[in-house]
Amino acid sequence: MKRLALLLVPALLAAKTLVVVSPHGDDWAIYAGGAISKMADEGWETYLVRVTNDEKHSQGLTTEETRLRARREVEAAAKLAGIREVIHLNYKDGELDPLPETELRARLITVFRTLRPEALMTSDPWTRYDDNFDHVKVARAVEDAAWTGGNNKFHPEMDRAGLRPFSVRQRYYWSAGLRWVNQRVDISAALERKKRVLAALPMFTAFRPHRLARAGDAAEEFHETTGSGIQQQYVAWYVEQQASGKAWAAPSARALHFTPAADKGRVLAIVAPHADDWSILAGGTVARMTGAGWTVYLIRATNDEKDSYGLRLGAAETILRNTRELDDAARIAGIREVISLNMKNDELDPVSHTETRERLILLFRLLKPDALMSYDPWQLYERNPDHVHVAKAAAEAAWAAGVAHYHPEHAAAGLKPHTVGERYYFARGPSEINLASDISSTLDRKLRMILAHKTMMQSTANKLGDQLRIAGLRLPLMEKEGGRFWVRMVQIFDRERAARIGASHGLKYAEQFHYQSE
Amino acid sequence: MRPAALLLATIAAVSSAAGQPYAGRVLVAVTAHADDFSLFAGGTIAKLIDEGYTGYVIRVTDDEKDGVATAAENSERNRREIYDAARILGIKEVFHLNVKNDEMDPISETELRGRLILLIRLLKPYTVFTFDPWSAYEENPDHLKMAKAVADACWTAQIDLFHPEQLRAGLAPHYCPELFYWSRGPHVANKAVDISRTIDRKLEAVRAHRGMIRDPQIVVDLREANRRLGALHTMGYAEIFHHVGLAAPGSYVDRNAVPVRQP
Repeated sequence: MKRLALLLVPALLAAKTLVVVSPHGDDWAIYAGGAISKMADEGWETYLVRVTNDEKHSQGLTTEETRLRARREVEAAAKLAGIREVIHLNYKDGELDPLPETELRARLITVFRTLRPEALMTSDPWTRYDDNFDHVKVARAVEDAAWTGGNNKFHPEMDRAGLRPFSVRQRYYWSAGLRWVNQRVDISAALERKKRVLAALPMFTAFRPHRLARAGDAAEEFHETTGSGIQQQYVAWYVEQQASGKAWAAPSARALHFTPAADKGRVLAIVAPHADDWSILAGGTVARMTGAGWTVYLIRATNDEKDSYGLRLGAAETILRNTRELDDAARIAGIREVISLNMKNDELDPVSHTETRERLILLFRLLKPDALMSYDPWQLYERNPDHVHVAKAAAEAAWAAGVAHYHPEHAAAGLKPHTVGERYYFARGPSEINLASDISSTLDRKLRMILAHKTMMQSTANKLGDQLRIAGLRLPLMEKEGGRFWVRMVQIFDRERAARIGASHGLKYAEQFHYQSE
Repeated sequence: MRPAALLLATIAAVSSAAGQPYAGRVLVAVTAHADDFSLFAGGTIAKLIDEGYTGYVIRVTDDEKDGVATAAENSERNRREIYDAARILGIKEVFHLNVKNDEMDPISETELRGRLILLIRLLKPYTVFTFDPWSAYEENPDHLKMAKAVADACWTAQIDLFHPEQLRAGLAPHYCPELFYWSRGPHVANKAVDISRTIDRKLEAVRAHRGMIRDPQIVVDLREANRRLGALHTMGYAEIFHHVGLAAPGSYVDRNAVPVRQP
């Protein structure tokens, strides 16, 4: 903080100050390098807070070399962009998950109270389909620090040290993901300079180069905000949304139809939190893929110990039955092997994201899948935290498995880096759908897979019965079918689901996905 | 463990039985801070209570950082004033989880869920109000952290394998058939509620949080916001929510479930 203290000398001209908070050494340059250079030219005093040490952002260098080079490159690029000073917070790259947000927030409040910027720029805290979770983690702490920094109840010790409360009103968020863009900045005049800035970051730009896809555009896109407020901004958004008739997070209008390539030897890894998820949401597609020659592995994260509602089974008996029945369903689907990680069902909150990711990285390096299939980590209104935890770990593991810096100890066990290039995400809630799969030929098999999960389907039917009773409702079919209701439930509900999804894509029966590849 | 609670005098509602179609039903508003439920759902809550609901509020944090005095004084004042707002809206009882305000990040979601499951099993709500856990551009992490735990607790409270020790203590599993999520940012809004008859009481409740609503302009802006939302739906004043029901609209259960008894 010694270097920061020097900056408290009042500037002769009342120049405006911009603080850029970048999770990694290159994010700011790729997504906002033009706008930042432009603002520096216009007289903004600009500071860059670099949060991580970027130690994994290279191929073929040691961790230590990567750190040293990253720091040198960032300092040089920042100078080219007219940035006055880089503040390095030196957090461990790719392992921010266990970091309490309050800790990062405290350090950012110190920076904001010291530099007292008129505006800040960072990654969009609300982006979706950005598979590096460092970005959202950092951005949410930045957003939080921006307003809490103005309240003297936060960190009174800073007040005592002369750092008066300060909140940053104007905020600009960049991102490559799907989000609410409300500002486009024309950077055509700064484009050449941005190219030079990026050229000063050769180690970074060689790492996952697909991120540079839009770095040459003549405009940069931001979400601009001055904070949530009470509800004024919300109402403005809602009025606009009603006028446009376009729902928030609405699925894409048209999806591409999926035809599994009949490549013998192609490998799919399904990562599912529970025994039944994949069969209900993607079983028809899995059957098509095994039929077309794919080798399919199923990695099941939890032990499903709590899914036997109303059956009067203990946890151990529940685990046994759900596991045995999963084997039956997998056999019907043509899955080669089921690997259970045996994590505690519905209690994943204290489990480290980094740990779950590591276990999946190991399996990806071992099985070498071409494609991953899992829950969509970015779907909305998903009320089961297991689904979100496992999907996030899988999405990050898919690319991190290809980076040697993640778990170098795997190399000692003979495992080589391997990127899972294709991802098929299924969802229960609103998701950005861009792929439809015709399952008319495999629907009957799909229903048999789901019915194989006898305990879980009975559990679902029993839960529904009690839910209806609590709500003062009854279902005539349930009364008519009695103990066989669960079979009719699967036959009716899952056929209807396939027909409903099919109808939205001009197919008889379908499943749908968000598809990504790199 | 008995949660700390204070019984409030219920407002003698002058309504006929016919005007109270929801007599016997319970609503619970889970609020991160003392003023959130009044600000974002006060009109709908008062309306449902008028129509026969019994209402409870669960306040999650201690609000120690919202006010102009010391942390302890802020916390105490905000706690006291929630009862004024609750009385105006007709809330029967307020529960306080006393979680540290604006420092929820390191708190275990499983623990928070466990505490909420206990209260859900105790109060047996039909309807739960809270922040939208999926709202975007929501800058206050307390709102989201708490809302995710509520969304999780509302379905897990039904399952006997979650917190069996609570069942041993005499509580029974319970499921919440519907959720209303309010929001400050973009979300999937799918329900507008006409609050024309309760807007004045809502704003009175908001004003009752004197330590938190320090700027009178907030009440003016809020009336205007509810008016604009209403104008979009041919209502005088409205509140907007993402509503989650027992079954998805148009699904087999939605089409075929019938009431056990005709009202």
